[in-house]
Order: sequence, then structure tokens, then C-alpha cells
Amino acid sequence: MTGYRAGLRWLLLPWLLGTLLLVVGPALITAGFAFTRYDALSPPQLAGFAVFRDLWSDVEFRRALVSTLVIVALAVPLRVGGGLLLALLLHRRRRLDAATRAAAYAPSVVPDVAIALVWLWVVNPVYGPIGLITSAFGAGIGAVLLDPAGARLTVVAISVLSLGEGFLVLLAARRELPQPLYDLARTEGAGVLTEFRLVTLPLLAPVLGLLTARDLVVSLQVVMVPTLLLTNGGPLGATKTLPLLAYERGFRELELGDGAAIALLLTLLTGLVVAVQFRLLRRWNRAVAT
Amino acid sequence: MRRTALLMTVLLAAACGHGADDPTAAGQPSPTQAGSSAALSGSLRIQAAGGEGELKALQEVVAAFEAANPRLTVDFTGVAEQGDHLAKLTAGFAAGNAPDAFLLNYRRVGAFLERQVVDPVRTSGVDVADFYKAPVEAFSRGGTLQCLPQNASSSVVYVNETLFAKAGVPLPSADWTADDLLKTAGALAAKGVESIAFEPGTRTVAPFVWSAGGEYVDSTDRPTRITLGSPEARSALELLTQLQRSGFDARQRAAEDPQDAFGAGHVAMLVDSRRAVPGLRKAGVAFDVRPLPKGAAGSVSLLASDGWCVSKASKNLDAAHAFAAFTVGDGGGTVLAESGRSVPVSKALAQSPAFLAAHKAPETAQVFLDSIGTLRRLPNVANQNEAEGAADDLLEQYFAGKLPLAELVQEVDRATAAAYAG
Repeated sequence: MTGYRAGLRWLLLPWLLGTLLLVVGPALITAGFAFTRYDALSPPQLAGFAVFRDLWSDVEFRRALVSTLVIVALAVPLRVGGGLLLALLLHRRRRLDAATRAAAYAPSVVPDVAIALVWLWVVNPVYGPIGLITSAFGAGIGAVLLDPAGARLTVVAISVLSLGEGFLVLLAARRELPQPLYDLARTEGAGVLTEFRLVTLPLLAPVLGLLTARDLVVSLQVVMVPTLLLTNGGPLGATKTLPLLAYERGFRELELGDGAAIALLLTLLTGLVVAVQFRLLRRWNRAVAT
Repeated sequence: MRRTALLMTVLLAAACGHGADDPTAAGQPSPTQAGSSAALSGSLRIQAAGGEGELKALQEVVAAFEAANPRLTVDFTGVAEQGDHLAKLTAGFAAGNAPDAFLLNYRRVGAFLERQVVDPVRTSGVDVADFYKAPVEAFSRGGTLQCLPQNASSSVVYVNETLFAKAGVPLPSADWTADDLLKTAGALAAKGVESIAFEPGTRTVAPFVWSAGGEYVDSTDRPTRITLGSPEARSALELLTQLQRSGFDARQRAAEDPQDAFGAGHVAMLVDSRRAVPGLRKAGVAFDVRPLPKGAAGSVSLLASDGWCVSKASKNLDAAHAFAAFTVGDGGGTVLAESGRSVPVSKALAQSPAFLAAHKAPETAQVFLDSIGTLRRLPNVANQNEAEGAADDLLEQYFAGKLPLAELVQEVDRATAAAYAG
């Protein structure tokens, strides 16, 4: 057994080395740059917390923070809720369900650039499907991506459609739930909603909590490239989230110090939200148990 | 904890290390004449952004340069978007791995010049006296030419001859006025033809403001804000708004890029620079060009010019400068002129058949050369890119009818003042 475990550790070694070299190292360097003024063309100058003070008084940063919170607040519940709904609808082994499950997962494997191109067509007011259908009824749509609310909703929709991984995890988790509990609930006269509230939800809560935490982290990452291509953060900064602003500051405006500071703040903010969420989940679990 | 702090310090020091390198240590200017191919060897990395036609032409230039310098290998990287080009350059400089030479618009070059990472262009072997004045000024700092301008284009009005003929509207004359433009657009619209398309940003608005007698930026050399509050600027914006009513509006622009729409024959006029020519030739549309119409201050156009900058840290400075010189000389310059994308910066080349080829559209290519005398330029300071970006976002909203003029003026003033202040 010891030999087996030692073997497993050796297997883990390449992954650990890769993570140290490609994730931990760059993250530490970025954290260091966050306290400097650095334009990539000349040596960084240590500036300490002044970088963060300046960011806080920066209108664009505050706007990006609001955009980030709005998009996350809309996208995360929809992604997790959508994945759960699909898992509950498709967990039984029936004909055509395999195809439906594949269809639900498919958008998650489409490359970012292709997603952006598809959505450019979808929201095209003249040649896109929504424009054509609404025009047929004499309505039509305007330039969706020029409208701050329309652009934000488009970004949220892109994020929601790539919910495949969460859906797969929930599908597997739902199939593992013991059938006798459902039989018992039905014997007691529970309807579908009661069954969901008293059996499914409590049992899936740990998985849902984990997926929500994961989605808080990834929901902004999965839309970054499509957003960059679709709206470039516009209109008027409505879709300029913190990752996009960090990229823009760092690589387009030669302010790598600012970009690093934004990345560090985003990491801390995400950590904070995940911590709060786990605390709430633990409290809810305790309440359910009692 | 102390170990973590130490690790961070070491990593930071390692990451910062490259920046402390002496940029001049990589190589001093040698007496090798720019453009000379006698002793060039090794490898050279070149980076540029542009459309399909431009990148193809640049690849041909690279191939010709390699053929002239058999001991030299050139690695050319073409990037489709200017923003990605800048991002790639920044990453390259940050990693101490910048290309030896790169092509940049003069409105984007300021940040690189201010950080002194560009090796001032070597003019020996290059007849700068034969260059048009405006692009030379645009790429100069403190009286020294920093990057070698490659082209000198201007904004013009493209006209679709087929759509004009179909509508029975005469093509405008070369000395037309803003009123004539409005009347022409109205006449086309009356015949059911989409009259005009333009990009709702600085590249369109600035020359119209100048033609009306106003200023787009408060100072070209030391800009502090973009100014749209003057009566002249307001009248220019109102003129463009009126034109938009008979032409492509925000909804249509969202559906189809103005240049694509003109190339597909969906719109009769297009405001753009020389960059549209390769795409329009490929689309096969029958087109010609006219200068921008005269306003109260005459016809004033916007300089569009890209230049080759050489990285100070290049390990092959001689070859990098020689390549820059090659692109504007008889070898590379002719290839670029024939591609249709560039108005050569060299007067001799601009007057040659390579550029003025009568058998290729636009028939009156001379319009581009005549417009050079009316050119004005935008600032080339470090934050120009951000200021223009801020103004363009707001102008897009204005032309989409989502921002009233008074608010546009205020917001542009506020946003661009912040951008220029850095």
C-alpha cells in the first residue's frame, strides 16, 4: 500500500511541477507586480498600496467592478440552475436522451472564437435569426451590442450556454442519489416540488455549493474571449469585466502594474465571495440536519 | 512566512531583471548603410498588423528582402487587429523578446517613443527629403525622425459608380462642398439607394471638424482633451448625423461593416482611407474616389500613416534598419504601392505607375496625392490610443441616438481629459 501511494505521488509530480511553474510562479510574480508601476518597457518602480488607492479612484475600475458583479450575479445562478434543471430532466435513461445530453454539453467544447462568431450572427439585427423572426412580425431588433443592457445580457447568455461541465457533474450526482428515498417520499404523498425540496436539493447541496464556487471563478473567464471579440468591453464599459480590464491595462495600455493589481483584487474578491458562500452553505446544512 | 516573502522577492527580482538590461548594450549603430545588403546575416523578427491585402503585400516584401539578403532569415508575424498587435508587442517587450522591427500607426507610437525603446531611424541610404512632410513630422520627436514612415494616406470618399449610374445621380466633382455631399446623399436616398456609410469615430469626425474650421484636439503637441463643444465641431457632428439619416445608421452598421457594405454594393459612398482599396478591388466593385468635401475651412483630411520602428534591444540592428529602409525603397516600396493598400511616402514612388496604375481602381488615385497637401494629423503622445478609444465609445453612442449632443460634448471632454492625464 505504501509503495502504491508512493507511486501515486510520483505520478502526481509532473502535475505539481507544471502547476508550480505555470500557475503558482506567475501568480506570485503577478502579486509582486501589483505593488509596482510597470509599463513593460522600463523596469518596475515599487509603489506599494498607492496602486490600489489610485485604482479605487479610477472611474473605469469602479465601472468594471460593477459590470463584473452584475454579470456574475446573473450568470452564476443561471449556469448552476440551468445545469441542475437539465440534469433533473435528463438523468433517466430514455431514448434520445443521449442525444439531448450531448446537445446540452456541446456548447462547452466549442472554441471561444467560434462562439463569438455565432453570437455576432445571432444578434445581428438584419441577418440574424432573432432579427429575421421579429422582423417577420413587423417588430425587428435594434443594435443589441450597442445597448449596455443588451450587450450585458448577450454576455450572460454566452456564459449560460457553456454550462456543460456543471451539467455533467450534476447529472452524475443525481444518478447516485438513492432511489428508495424517492419511493418513500412518494409513498408519503410528496409531489414533484416537495420531492425536490426535501430530497434532491439537500442531497445535492454539497455538489451545488462546489459548482457555485467553481462558477464564480470560471464564469468570467469563459466569456472573456467572446466578449473581447464581440463588444471589446463596450458599449460604455457595460461588458468590461475585471479580467478584461486587467488584460487591457496590462497589454494594450502598457500598465502591467495596474493589470496585476486588478488581477490580485479579482482573486481576493473571488476568494471572499466563495468563503461567504461556503459559510452560508454550512449554516444551511446545519439547519437542514436539525 | 519569511520563506514565502523571500521567494516572492526572488521571483520579482528575476522577473524585473530583464528590464534593468542596458538597452544600448545589444548593439550600437554601425556604419552599414540602411538598405545595403552587403553584410546582413543572422535572423530578423518583424511584426505588423493589417488586413488580408496588407499582410499579403508585406509577406511579399519580406520575401523580396530575403532574396536580396540570402544570409538573412526573416520571421514575419502578421496580426489582424491593432489591439492584438499592441498586446503582442507589450508582451514581447515585457519578456525581453520584442521583434527587431515593428509597424505602428503614428497615433500608437507615442508610448514606445516616450519609454525610449525605439532606436531612431537611420536615414543614411534613405532619401527622406523625397518624403511627404506630414508623415515625417508625425514620426518625429524633438526634431529627430524616430520611425520610418511607410505610407501617407488620407481620408477620402469612395463612390460606387454603378449605384450612382443606376440612381441617375451624377458623380460628385473633385471640388465639392459639404452642401453638395448632403444634396448628393439626399438624391441617392430619394432613388432608394443607401447613400453613405462611415465609421462613427475619430477617423471620420476629426477631418469633418477640421473642414468646418474647428479643432478636434485642443493641442496636437500637448493634448489635454478632445474638444467637440465648438460651434464648428457641433455643425460637423450635425452634418454627419444628417448624412446618416439617408445612409447607414447604427442598426445597419451593427449588421454589416461599412467597408463590407460598400464592397457588396449595398451603399453608394464610403468615408475611409486608402486601406479600403485592396478589399474593394478584390470585391470587384466599380469604384472611384473623391476628396473629402470642402467646409468653411476648405477640404481637410486626416493623415493615416504607419511607420517601421526598430527595437533598441534588437540584436540585429543593422538588418532591422535595412529592412525598414527596404520597405520604402524601390524594392519593397514598389510591391506595397502595387498592392493598392499604401500611398507611398516617397514622392517619386507615389508619382510612379506602380501607384498611379490607370488600369486599376481607383481611376483617380491622384486624389490621394492631392489630399496630402490638405492633411492634418492627430497627436502622437503616449495616451493617444486611450483618448481616442474613450471618444470613439461615446461617438458610437451618439451616432446610435443614445447620447444627446450636449452630453456627448461633456462626456468626451471628461473622459479624454482623464485619458490624456494618464
